[in-house]
Amino acid sequence: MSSDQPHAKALRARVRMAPLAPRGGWEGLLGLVSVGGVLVVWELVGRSGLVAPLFLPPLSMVLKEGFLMANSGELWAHLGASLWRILWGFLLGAAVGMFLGLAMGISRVVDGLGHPLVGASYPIPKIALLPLFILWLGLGESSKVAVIGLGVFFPVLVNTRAGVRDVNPLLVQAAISLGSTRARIARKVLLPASLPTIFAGLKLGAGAALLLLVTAEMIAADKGIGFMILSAANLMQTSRLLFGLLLLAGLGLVSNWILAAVERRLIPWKP
Amino acid sequence: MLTRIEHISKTYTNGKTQPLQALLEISLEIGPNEFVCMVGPSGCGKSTILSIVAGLLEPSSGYVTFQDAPQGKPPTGLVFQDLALFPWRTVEGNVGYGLEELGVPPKERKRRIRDLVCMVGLEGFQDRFPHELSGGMRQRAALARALAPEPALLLMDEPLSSLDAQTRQEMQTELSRLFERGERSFLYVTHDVGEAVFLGDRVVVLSPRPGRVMEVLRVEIPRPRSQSLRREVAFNSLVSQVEALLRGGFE
Repeated sequence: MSSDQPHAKALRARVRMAPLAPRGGWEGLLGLVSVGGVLVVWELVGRSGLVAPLFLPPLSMVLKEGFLMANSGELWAHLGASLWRILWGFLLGAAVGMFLGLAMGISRVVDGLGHPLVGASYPIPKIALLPLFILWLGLGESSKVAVIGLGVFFPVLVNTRAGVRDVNPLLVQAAISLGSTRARIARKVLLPASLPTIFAGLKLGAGAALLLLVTAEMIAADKGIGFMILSAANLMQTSRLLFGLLLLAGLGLVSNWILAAVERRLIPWKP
Repeated sequence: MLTRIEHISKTYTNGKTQPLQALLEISLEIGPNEFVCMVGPSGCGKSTILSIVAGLLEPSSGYVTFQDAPQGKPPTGLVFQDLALFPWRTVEGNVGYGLEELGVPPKERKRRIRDLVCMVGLEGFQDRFPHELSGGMRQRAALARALAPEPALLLMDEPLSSLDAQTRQEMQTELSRLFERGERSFLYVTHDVGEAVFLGDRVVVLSPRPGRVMEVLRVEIPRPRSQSLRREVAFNSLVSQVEALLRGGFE
């Protein structure tokens, strides 16, 4: 039988390497094994006494710390402040980025004016603008929201613009031949056609938002997860520090899930 | 509706390369309920003519007029070679697009979409996205989308070129039936001489670039036509005649 020949076997192994091969259920289990494994090793190393709890407290101790913080209400104050900032920053940055990206993708004039500006300001690390925003907007929430918003704004803008410019011109011609006006083409053709690219920008923006959130909170805040991590480190409260990192991992995962769910809903046609 | 194409020339210029003369003095009339096919070598500007008639492209000189055009709807509908279905819309959404743009109220829109979907034989597939359909079904969806606003002249640009031979003949017969309803004229571009003779009342033979009208042949074969026609002498002699003209144009 050909299936027993080493040659055929090797070929099939290569076919399995194809990037589009569907993932079976057992591959999902592998993820549980690796993540669970790391957590178990962490717990065991922490308990074994090989490493001082000051440097690596066991997972159970970290979770207990989190439980205590949740009970005292401290956790919710930090988490609430961070969520508020990142949500507003993300929504504002994404909305303005999509709007201007569409405008730049559609209009040569807007693009001619806007593109050099974007090119010059995109490379500035956004966190470097925080002192300026604090100067302008004060130490309150708006300076942090502004920095996060800017971090989301740029990738969303650049991706939206690229998506609109990449729209198959035949689709626009089809819309014209079916009686669409310019404004309706923008809404009914260019926007839906560039949604997949826009979502790539939103995902990049979500990553940038988390990074900027934590950094801004470490520099200038009296609550929030970033502040909590930094002050825990200053006080050698390693459990609390690690719990903050777990929270951030969770926040990143949840934001990815939400974006993926919205994407599936808005782009059911993506094969 | 009577469509008059009057002395249309088109030169493409982009400032960098030599200007490209695509069409030279094309004049053609498409009568009410007439099926006109255009054949010609690649690059002779067949698609350019359709784009100009559809109003998507400005001719360098000459003009197109529509006499007795129906009010309140676009005079022409266009089926693209690459179909250009909206991938984010289902069959129903694609077919309904032109009706939305015409401001047809939702209730009537739904009814007309249902009729069109039935007419092109896509019942049961109205909720599918284009990527979930076979080539022939996508073709039908594109046809229904172009028919929806009830254009008096349907422009088709090699619509069947990507289909396998059997599906293509099926679609040819269906297009012929559609035409025989007597509701609209067709201006139909194809590479396939047999297809042009099978479908057309007249076959317009274009020269190589710059495209000119080399010859117009009348197809005196009664309708309804069926594929068995392909075995008849009258059909085959016309096909040979057009092929000879095309060969002559190359030399």
